[in-house]
Amino acid sequence: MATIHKRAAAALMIGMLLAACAAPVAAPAPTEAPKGETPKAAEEAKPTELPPVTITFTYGGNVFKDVDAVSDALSAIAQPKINATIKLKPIDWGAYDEKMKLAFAAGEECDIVFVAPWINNYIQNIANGNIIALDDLLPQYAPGLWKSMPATSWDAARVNGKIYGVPNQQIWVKPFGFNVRKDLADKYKLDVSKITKYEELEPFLDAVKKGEPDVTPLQSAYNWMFETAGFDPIVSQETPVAIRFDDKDMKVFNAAASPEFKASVELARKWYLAGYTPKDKIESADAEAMWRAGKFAMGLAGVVKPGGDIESRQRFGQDVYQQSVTTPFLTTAGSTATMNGVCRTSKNPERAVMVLELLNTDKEFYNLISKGIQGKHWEWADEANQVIKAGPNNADYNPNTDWEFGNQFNAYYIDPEQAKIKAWDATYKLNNDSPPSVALGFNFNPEPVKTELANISAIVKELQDPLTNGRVDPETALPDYLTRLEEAGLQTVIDECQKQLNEWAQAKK
Amino acid sequence: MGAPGLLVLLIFSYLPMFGVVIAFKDFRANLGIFNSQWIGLKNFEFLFRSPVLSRITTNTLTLNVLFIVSGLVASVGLALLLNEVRLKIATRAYQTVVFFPYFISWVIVGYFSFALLNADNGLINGFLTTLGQEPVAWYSSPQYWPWILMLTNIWKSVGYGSVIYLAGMLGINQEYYEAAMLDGANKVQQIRYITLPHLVPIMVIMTLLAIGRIFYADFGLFYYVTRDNSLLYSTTDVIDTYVYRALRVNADIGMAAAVGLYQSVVGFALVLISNWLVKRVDPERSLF
Repeated sequence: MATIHKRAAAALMIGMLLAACAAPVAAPAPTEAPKGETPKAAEEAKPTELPPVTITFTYGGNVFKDVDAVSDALSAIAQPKINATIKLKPIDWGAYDEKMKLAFAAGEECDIVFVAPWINNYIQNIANGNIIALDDLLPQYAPGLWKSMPATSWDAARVNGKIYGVPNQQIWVKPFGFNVRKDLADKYKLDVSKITKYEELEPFLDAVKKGEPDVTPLQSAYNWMFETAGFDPIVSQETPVAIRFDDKDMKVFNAAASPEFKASVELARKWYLAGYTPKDKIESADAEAMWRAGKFAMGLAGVVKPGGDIESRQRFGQDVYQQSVTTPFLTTAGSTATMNGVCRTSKNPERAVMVLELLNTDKEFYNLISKGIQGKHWEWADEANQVIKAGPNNADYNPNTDWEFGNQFNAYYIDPEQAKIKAWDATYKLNNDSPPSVALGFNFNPEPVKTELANISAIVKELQDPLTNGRVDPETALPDYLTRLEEAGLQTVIDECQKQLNEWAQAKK
Repeated sequence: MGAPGLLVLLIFSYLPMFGVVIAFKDFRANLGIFNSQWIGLKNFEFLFRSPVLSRITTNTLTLNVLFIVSGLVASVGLALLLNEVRLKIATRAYQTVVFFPYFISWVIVGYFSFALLNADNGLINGFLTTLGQEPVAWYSSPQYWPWILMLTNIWKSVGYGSVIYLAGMLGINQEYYEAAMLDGANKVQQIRYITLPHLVPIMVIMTLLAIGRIFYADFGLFYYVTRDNSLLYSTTDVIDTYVYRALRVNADIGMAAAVGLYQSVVGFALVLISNWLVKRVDPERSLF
């Protein structure tokens, strides 16, 4: 080959290599956005005298055709009250996390933003300075919202003593339990109300296995949940570090080394070997289709909440019974599972907080964003009991994520049975009646141990998954898992967690 | 004439390169690249202190070597076969057929392989059962996976590779073949003594380029085709999948950049070494 070609190829190759070096392309340095002037004068002024502004709300969800029409309808309510135009900016769930990281990194302007421990991470956004503290703004600009929750709930959202997000009221406790198809439960005489732990389901599973050749008794043998064992997952659901929710000494321990975890994985193994589950892992999207096709009799480890069986029926196309096997208690993670914060780049943080007030206290405003426009996306089925049904253009706006936008207890019911049992009141009561964990309000700061957490999370994914699904023998795999966790520095995380927890408890006194 | 190309290279490859500093910084979006704190080599700690560093490194290297060798053999072999097809329209049809998988996303390929391999109702196990063989739990038997991945990779990339070699063959002067035929050389001898020697420069360049990326793994292949199945990690977990799994939780840009830089530096060194080796054997054939 001619030398000139070789040179060109070499140059090209070096270019490619160097380009690869710079693979994680950096966004340009964000410029410090001007902080909105706190309108001292406007404080006493009537809301309508506020200068007109546009407030954006960025959240995860399907991008529906009528999103702009809903934005306009929201603005029509918000303008006379707080002179704000509302602009909804939904981002597809699959891309939400990634896009928000980039948007924050690029310093893009935004106002209200959905944050959670599981997507667009709350703690991380605080650490990166992406969202602002709301302590001064909330009592002044959102008094109704501020009063709608007890101090303990606000404390759950506190990080380093400050509130950065507004927790949406919904089911906060985690009464994990099981879903079982009604027809099969009745056929094989399973009285769900008598079941207090998963082990007692075995005769039923066995009967389905023998009697229903076309049905796999269990979607998965996975039954491990911190809360079921009475553990508060104070680092994250993915890190085996916990305290017992009622342990006054707040001793942090390795949850994977607990007898409860051992019992759980042994049960999973037993059921896997008995052939109650599919042999290969089923992706959750595929599982839903299989539920609809009636391929499963039962699923474990789901949250059992008031009216949950009605939601399950809509999702899985099956009538189900649900029963919790967990004594519910209130944790930080549960109370802050879905929140809305205000971006650092917002030019009008106080007006954004006023919109949060509307989202959480104005029933009409909240249902507009959650359910769409009356007569178009929904219609009254029974106005007296606040029950709605799908409207003619329901497919053009139907986010089905009430818990994302504000206080879910203000949502209209979508099923008359939900209204009959007053699902929201029952949920509110369940939240309030459940005992709080001793660590309610404690938020772990992962920064000092992020190297260890990165390696631990890889190991949990690798070894805990097969264990909890029963696909490996706990006899050998569990000790191996524990050794590998130690190697990855789990003790360092436990020590750090204990230290932070002690400091937090000290400060609280 | 090369100006537009160079400009593109400059804008998209050289300008962003200063971003490598992120690997040495505690990157904070609100502070930006310049104002984020320097933290030296702390970002590299995570990878080098990882308890599975040796496993992911070995897997990445051995699987990539396997892919490079098998890909080379398969592409050249297919190109030779296609070159022998006399009917032009048939050649085109074959080319299109073998090229097509190149455009199929790994996500879809993952579903294809699941349809073939799943333990409950996969096609291959169905086939084995009809033959009276024991079905195999493919998704929990890591020992088969280097070969499964190799075959999948060939299936997807062989069309692309063969086109390059086929183009190389078209450039060979037909007079060589005519002379060889006059001397009574048969087809195999023609291939052995004329075609292959002429293809060596392309093979060397393609292989050197592949070696430059030997420390990178095709994330789609290793993530979707294995269905991110943790029981298979012992033979399929590579640097890219591990980093994804580890950093998904805290999404630390600095740590990810550090791994990227490490992969590039090692790849660069390997290219220099292999080029030096080629040069020692045959200075004409080296890349630079």
